[in-house]
Amino acid sequence: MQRLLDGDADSVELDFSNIEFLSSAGLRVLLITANAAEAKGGTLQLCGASAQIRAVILTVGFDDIVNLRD
Amino acid sequence: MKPSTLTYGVDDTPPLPALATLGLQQLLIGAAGWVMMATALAAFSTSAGDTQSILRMSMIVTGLGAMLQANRRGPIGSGYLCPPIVAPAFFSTAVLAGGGYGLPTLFGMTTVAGVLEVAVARLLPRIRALFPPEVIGVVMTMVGVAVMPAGFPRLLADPATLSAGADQGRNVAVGLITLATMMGCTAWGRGLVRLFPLLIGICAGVAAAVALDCIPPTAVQSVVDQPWVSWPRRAVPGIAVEWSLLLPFTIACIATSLKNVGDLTMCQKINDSEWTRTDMASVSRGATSQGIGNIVAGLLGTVSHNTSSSNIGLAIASGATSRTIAYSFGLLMVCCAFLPKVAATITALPPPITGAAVVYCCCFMMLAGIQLLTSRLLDARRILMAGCALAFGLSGGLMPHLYVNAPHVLRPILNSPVSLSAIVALVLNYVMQLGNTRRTRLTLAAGTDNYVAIRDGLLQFGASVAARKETITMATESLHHVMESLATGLTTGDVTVDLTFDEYNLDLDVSHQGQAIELVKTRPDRNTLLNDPTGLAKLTGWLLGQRAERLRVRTDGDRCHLLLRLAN
Repeated sequence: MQRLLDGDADSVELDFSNIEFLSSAGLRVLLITANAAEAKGGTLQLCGASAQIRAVILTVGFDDIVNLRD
Repeated sequence: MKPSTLTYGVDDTPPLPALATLGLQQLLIGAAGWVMMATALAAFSTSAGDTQSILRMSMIVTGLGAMLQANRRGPIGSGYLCPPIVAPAFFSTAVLAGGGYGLPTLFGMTTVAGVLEVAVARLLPRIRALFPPEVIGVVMTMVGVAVMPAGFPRLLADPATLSAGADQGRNVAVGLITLATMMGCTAWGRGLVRLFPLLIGICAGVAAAVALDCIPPTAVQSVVDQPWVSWPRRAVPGIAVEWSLLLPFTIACIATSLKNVGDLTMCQKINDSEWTRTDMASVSRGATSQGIGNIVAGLLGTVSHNTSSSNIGLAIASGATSRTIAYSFGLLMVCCAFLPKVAATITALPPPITGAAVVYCCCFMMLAGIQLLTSRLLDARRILMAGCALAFGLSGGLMPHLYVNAPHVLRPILNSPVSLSAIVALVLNYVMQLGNTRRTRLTLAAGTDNYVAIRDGLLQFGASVAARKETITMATESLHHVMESLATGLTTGDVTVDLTFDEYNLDLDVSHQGQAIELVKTRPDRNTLLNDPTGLAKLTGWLLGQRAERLRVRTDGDRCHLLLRLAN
């Protein structure tokens, strides 16, 4: 993801439909990616995240830096 | 919390027109029960007049019982819409008492059974450990199954349920039109249509019955013959007690008490989207109300009553579980006892229509029980317990000849799928837990990816104690967060996790050498997470605090302990 953002890309969209669990380290990676995208005027989007993962993102307050999509 | 599927939850008050119509709808589903009672009374040749008297007294008991059950102040009443109905578990004992010793003995023993029910009800909170959710799930499922024999023969126009010369094919069509209308209202209906599926279905069924000429002249005549208003009278004066009947009535009483637990648990579950386990204190108050209802039933001169599963199924289907409906239902029911023509009209509904109503309601009951069963993780022992209990419960229905030669005293249990499955579940639940521990220890290596080991270890433990799936998922996530944080340099050795479960809580004691995870009260900001090496551990410490019922850190010699309690 970092490589993508170091290149031409300014936004990243991640398909979370097969992700079972989001760890603390995973949250930190999302934060770093969202920061990098934001610095280039872009966004980080997650699509297909399960209710469980959405709940974690909302609990830690990352919903203001990550766009959650169905 | 009120589930989004309910239009009127237990604490809501519907507007008066809706309240009256919902009460009427609840009353109509009881029609099949009245017909069953008339059939059981016919088994010991009561006269038509006595049957009418017992039926009308039953209406008074049902109406008052529903209102008492809806009460939530004091030691009587569960506070739910859970009307009573004539108890099928008492049919064989009613035949024993009424046929062998006469109606005064039947009424006397009904009062004695009521006293016994109150005694059992007061014991329930003390024996709640006997009723874990998987046992209740079995009982609830079988409560739905047990209603089916009252519905299917009527729905499919079994000749035994029809009057002589009736056309079976046209009656089946009436039943299926009624059922399809009810299902259609629930599946695609909005607003009032969604609220009154049973009433609309019955209207459609009556219209179809008229169009297909399925209303026998005798049914019309039975209504015409009744006066508009009359005072209900006792069938025979006096009550008597026959102590030799105490044992069969006690067994029937245990059977109905088990059904009370299943039905009242269902009421709790459908009214709370965050429901996790049975509130036995509320069940005890509800069962007490039921016992008092039966004391009154005997004194007034009618038979035993029990919580009605069909009425609860209807409440789920229509999305209306308000306790105020119990009061409108109760008033209408008591009025019916004084209006013989109205009562006769309801009992004269063509059997396929009442059958369709019962089948429609039992669908919701069965599925709610299965949902409760599958909400828990089950290991081989618990699967055996639940499977065996369901199999025994179904055996009587599928192969009724199996229990024909059983001792008469055991028939209330053997002839009741609910009682038989509940008793098998209770016994097996106790036996299967012998030697089963509610503690275990996981040993994990710090600094490696432990997700699969954590998930599998917790799933195995969760299944052995029948923990909720959500609890085990949360424990898996929390433990993984902890292990990741410890891997940021807080420890290098093995980490041991002691798990303890007690139905209400899952406790995790995570111990390791090195530095403890810092428990912070405020969420680490972006800068801390990005630049502070301890940011990840702080996020874990904060996140655990959001989820845990209790969270603390202590040191014991050179080991740090993180004590985490999750609610089950």
